[in-house]
Amino acid sequence: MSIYTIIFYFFALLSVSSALFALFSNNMVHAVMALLGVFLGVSGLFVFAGADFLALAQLVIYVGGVLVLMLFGIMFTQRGSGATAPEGRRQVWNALFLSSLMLALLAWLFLSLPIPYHQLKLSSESSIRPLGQSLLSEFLLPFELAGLLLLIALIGAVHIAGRKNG
Amino acid sequence: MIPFEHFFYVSAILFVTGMAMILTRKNIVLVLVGVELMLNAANLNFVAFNRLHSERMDGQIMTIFVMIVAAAEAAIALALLWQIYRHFQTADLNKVNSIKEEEA
Repeated sequence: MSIYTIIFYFFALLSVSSALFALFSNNMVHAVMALLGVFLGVSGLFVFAGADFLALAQLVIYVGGVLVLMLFGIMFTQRGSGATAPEGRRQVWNALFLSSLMLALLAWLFLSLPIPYHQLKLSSESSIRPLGQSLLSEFLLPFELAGLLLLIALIGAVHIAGRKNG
Repeated sequence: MIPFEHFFYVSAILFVTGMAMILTRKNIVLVLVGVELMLNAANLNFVAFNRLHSERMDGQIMTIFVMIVAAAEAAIALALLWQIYRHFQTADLNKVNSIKEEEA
């Protein structure tokens, strides 16, 4: 068992356990902070899959942006301790049934599809250069459209949030 | 060597956890947490499958676009949450049951 294997399973366990903690936590602030563990773990797994730029982008966008926005959302709308209302019993059973169905489906898919897992290798070379080259040549139009989408979303968010009722 | 299947098992667990959160939680912010979990699971799949053709970068580029859409979605969702809270005085989805302005 090499050191890489240990680090890989550390990140995998970090993301999975943080996600489960967010699912079962009764405190909203704790659930959102558990999301930090998920983002860190997934970012570490990105590095193992040879996506070093995406690992950094994941940290900057999700931890720096999305997580802060969610904490703002909680602070805007929550008075008191941030404890959540208990879920209905039927809702929990329905969710348990649908989720385990989905998990079984995904596991069956990954096991039965002819995916050549042995061809998938970890890499040690950086992917920033080929990523940037294909982003600015082959995928230039979607890239610019994504920038436009962000601008529209920003203007839309300001418009919606600033609108007075009535 | 790390068996590559384990990327997909982690992503499947993350996806299912996000789905269970969306189905059970009643608070808007926690439903958003579930959405983010599902998007992260999809991203993990894209990046892992990108290793099948490691000379091409399609999977990683798709992940960039998913991240961009997630950022835009979070901004819009916060704005909507703010308006909903101003109108209904709650962030509980069970109590948000009309899209019409109530007649005063």
